Amino acid sequence: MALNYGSAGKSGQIEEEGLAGEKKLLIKFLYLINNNYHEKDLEELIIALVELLLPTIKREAGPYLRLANYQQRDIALITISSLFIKNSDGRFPVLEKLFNWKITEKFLIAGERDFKRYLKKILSRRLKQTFYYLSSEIRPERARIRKEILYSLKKIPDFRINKKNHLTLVNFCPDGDLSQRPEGSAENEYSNLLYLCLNACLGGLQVPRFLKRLAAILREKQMAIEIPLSSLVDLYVETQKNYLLTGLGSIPFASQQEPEQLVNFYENFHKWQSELQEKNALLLNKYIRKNKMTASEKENYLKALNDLILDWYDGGQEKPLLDYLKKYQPDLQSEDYRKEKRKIFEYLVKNSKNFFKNKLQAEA
Amino acid sequence: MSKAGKPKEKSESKDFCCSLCQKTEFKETVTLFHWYTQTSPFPYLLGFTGRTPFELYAEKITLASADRKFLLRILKDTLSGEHQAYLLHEEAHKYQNTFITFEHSWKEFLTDCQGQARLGRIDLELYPVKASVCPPCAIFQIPSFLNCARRIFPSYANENWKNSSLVMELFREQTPLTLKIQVEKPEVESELKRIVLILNNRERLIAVPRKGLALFELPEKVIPVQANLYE
Repeated sequence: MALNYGSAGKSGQIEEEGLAGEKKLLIKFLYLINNNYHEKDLEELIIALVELLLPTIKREAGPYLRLANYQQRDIALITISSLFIKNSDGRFPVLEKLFNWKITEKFLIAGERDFKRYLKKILSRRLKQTFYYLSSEIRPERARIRKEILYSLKKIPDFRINKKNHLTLVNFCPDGDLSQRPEGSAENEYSNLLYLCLNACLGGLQVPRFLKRLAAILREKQMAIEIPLSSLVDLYVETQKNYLLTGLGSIPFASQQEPEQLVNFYENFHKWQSELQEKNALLLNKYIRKNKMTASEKENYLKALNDLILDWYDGGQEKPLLDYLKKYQPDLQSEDYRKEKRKIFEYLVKNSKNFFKNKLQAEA
Repeated sequence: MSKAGKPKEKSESKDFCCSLCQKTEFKETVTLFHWYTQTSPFPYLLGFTGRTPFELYAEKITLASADRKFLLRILKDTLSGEHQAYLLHEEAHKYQNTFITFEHSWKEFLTDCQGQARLGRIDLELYPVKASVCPPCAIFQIPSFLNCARRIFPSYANENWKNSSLVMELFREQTPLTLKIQVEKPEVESELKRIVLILNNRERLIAVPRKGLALFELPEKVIPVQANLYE
């Protein structure tokens, strides 16, 4: 070897044997901050971050939105590469800001799960930014969306498809009466519907669920509509685009905060979580007193809810509510869930969402 | 960690990781060899600012290209133990913001506008050292005011890149300011290895583009002046 870099010597490296998963990544971040890394450290770190980001990209972009000629893996690599931009001294300024000494020190003594959560948070936030920068290149698969809308509409009562002057129109009449349609232009009707969709957080849903939820909202509001099928496609695309760029699907935990603030927020979050658990436990005691639930079932509800809250914190609900409960009640059948448990669990979820919303508003 | 991806995709990630963390195989490089001449007793005379007393510096090695157009001098600061490289060429775009790599080393160094690069504390054995230099294949001057996506054409480009252009977009509402650079290169087969953003005389940001795209987070109150491409 003609050249040897003294700073990258083995002496400065921490023994990694026995460390697993995210803690190992944290040590690699530490090497980078100290400018004491080998190319292998960098390579392992980048691959790990890409793999960590891919499931989130798959979930967020959904099956109907494409980003010009970028595949999901390209999006991951673009997001990650912006972290690894070097300056003239060969250092990584962006990475060093996100994983400065104060933060790494905190997580070195914290649990592995805490660091994983922080990492996922940072990555999801950067992913949102990437989607935002590439927003002009979003290409919705309109033909596929249109086909799925037509298929799903036939399965939802109160929706009707009509042909008028070569135009396919979609009607929704809660009581079969189109006179309940609000007055105003077609543009206003579209804007009102978009407002309803965004307000009800319908982003991130696949077409059948989107339409079911939209129907439920219209039914609740006793609202009738008549819009062209192409407008319904636009409505779906706009709602999904909005979700992709702003992340309405999850509780907007500290989306614009600095890394240090994020760590402080994380500490607050722990406090709120325990407070909420106590509240929910008291609520469920009422069900026990009325013999609607056993003590062990109560524990299962609380554990499942806890998992869901952690997923919200990590970027959003990852599976159907039933699956959260099924983890602690493996024999639970979907039929039983629908009959007996769903109402209770959904009520708990709604309460928890409101609880965090109030806390965040008070913080702001 | 999450489940592993498909083998092809995984190798694609690995390739990209390698381009981020390993020494790049630049296409247009010039190899420099050890130049067997007597080293100058006055290093400040050649590629040296001369502000510091020359006794502080010891010349370690001089390298030159086969056609003698490139000259690279490596000096050692005897106090700090750090090495500095000085690249010389008669054309400014050949020594300014040029990548220097050494055989057997995975690190790459970028010269500043005076052709100077800090090599840091390295154990430099005199023989045999071979270096490669890679000047930019295209240079773009960035307008001082960027308010929307804007297409820019090169102020200098080699034969391959003369029809290329950049689409630049500055996201002012983001903190920190973010500059998106998308390279468009009709009929160019060679792969783009690096995009360097020159912020001022000292600060530069080096990105590895993906499909010709790079996102730069800019330091506070700094507007970039130039963008260079390397193949």
